[in-house]
Amino acid sequence: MSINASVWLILLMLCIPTTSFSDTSDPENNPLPIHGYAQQETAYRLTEPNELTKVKQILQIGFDHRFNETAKIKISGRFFYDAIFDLTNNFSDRVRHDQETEAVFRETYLDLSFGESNLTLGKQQIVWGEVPGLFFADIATAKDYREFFLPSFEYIRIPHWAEQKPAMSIENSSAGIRWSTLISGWNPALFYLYKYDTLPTYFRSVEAGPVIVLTPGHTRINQIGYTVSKDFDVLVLKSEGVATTGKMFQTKDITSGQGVVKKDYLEYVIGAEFSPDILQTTVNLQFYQRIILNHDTSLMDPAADSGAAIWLKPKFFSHSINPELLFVYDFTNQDCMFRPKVILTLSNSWLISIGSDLFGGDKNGLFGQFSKKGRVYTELRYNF
Amino acid sequence: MVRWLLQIMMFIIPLTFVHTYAADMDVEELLKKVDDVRIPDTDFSVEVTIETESSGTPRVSKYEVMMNSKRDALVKTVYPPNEKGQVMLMKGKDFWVYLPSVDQPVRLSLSQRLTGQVSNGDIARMSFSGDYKAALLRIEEADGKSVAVLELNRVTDWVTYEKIILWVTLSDARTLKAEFYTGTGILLKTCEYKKYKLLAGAIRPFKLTFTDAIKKGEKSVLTYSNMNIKKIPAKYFSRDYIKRLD
Repeated sequence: MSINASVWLILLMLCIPTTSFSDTSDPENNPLPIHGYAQQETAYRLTEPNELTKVKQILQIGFDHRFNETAKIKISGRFFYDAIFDLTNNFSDRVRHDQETEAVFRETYLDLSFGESNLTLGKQQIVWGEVPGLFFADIATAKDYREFFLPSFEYIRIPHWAEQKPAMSIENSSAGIRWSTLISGWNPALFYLYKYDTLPTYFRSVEAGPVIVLTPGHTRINQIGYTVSKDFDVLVLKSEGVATTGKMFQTKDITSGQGVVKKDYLEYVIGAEFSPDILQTTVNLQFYQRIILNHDTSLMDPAADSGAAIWLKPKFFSHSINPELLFVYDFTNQDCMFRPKVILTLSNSWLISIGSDLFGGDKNGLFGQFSKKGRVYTELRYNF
Repeated sequence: MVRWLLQIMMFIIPLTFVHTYAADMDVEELLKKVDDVRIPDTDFSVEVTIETESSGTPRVSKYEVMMNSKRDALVKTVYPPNEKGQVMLMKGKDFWVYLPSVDQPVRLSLSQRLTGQVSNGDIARMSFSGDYKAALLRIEEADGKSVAVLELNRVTDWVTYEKIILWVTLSDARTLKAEFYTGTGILLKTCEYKKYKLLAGAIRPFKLTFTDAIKKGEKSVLTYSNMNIKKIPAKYFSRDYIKRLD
């Protein structure tokens, strides 16, 4: 996006909040059925070099319209501009190209209703997971990990009408089926999906020099899995798991042709959520594990990877002050992530979040790789 | 001695009166009539506005509610914008919330149904019969009308309150007042059914005032409007559909 376009986007965002923290979005006063939010995000690195790492403006707009009892349409889009790339020279052109600006359609579909059946045509998010925050069973939708796991779950999921890597075609499409029911409070679901792996595999080749070249590619995988939940009055138990066949893992074996071997693996999570009156806090506990079957020591991934998470949401403050604490510890890599946050409701439309993303442990671990990149941030949001 | 006998008589006569009424009255039938006055006994939708005053700060929330004849309920938040798009699904004991920021139906426990002066259960569960067993405590006179005071004890373990005391007119089964209790007898809140008007073909309460008995001075006024009887597809009341609701 050119500078002119960037300035236009900022001006557009500044126009949305009409007066400071005023509320203009009463549905009776809103002639257009549009909805969405404008958000300003600023992040500051806590370790050397201490500096701003994000000055991002996001605008998401959606429009829903029902034509009749049968058909309705939803159109939504998201635009962002991160001014950090104009304010600093800390990032390569490639990162700048990838993360400075974006304008994409989000969920945009035609929903056709035929009695008790439904047909949805278009770009959509298909959410199969039961446990929020861990995407083990959430396999039908690709994810945007440009900011790791840190944005909201809605932001991370990428709605799609087809797998877009490689190029869109019938041959490259995915197919899946899911069944679920509710019996005596048990809510089990089973699913199967045949798709391209949304996470790239790095294929190794040796070129003249000699130079080792790693080329990302996406291979076909089969996934079968389950989700289940049950309310036991004082707590809700949730679990989900997936068995994947045909996944390519990187190997240290230099005799291996492309540096990858095909393996099957299992992953599952078990979680419990409860709200003890004495603590006035919602407590969410999760344990997860991934096991590679027929593992051999040449694989770069461990045979098993286990971790646990605790997510606390105290409720003893007023309605307008909502703190959250998330701590995730990986037993295998011995690294962790700690995310304290408080969301302040400024008015019916305005929210501000102030928080920190802190990491520690082995620098080769999923979380430990960011151990010297902890940050504090603010997110000012206007909902409409 | 005469005074003592009079006192005994004053105690016994009302008891006899209650006993006579109780013998003649089908209390469960009365409770069913109370429900029929409050909401249609078929599928319907209604708009709900809740004005809450807590610590001197007023707050307005607006919801669209859909309920089927099985009493499954969908509650969609339309105001304030910070909560717009949230949908709550209640199917008997089972309870899900869809949050736009999570973009996923999240299953919650029964205890998480109880929040604020107007709990999620107050919005989504509007009937008593089937969930509670009623017993007649006494008959009172109020504004020239005979009023039955009923004690309702829950028969299912997933309803919001363990015990309710209900004041109901005998002539037209209108609820005047309700007190909501915990199992240990602690009064949680009271509700006054102050105003009635024509809604969905019958005279029904449309303004309910909830007063928090524990947090003094906290009050919520719940107003029903645009109540419509209409067939609601069964698919709406499923975890996987709530995201797609209009």
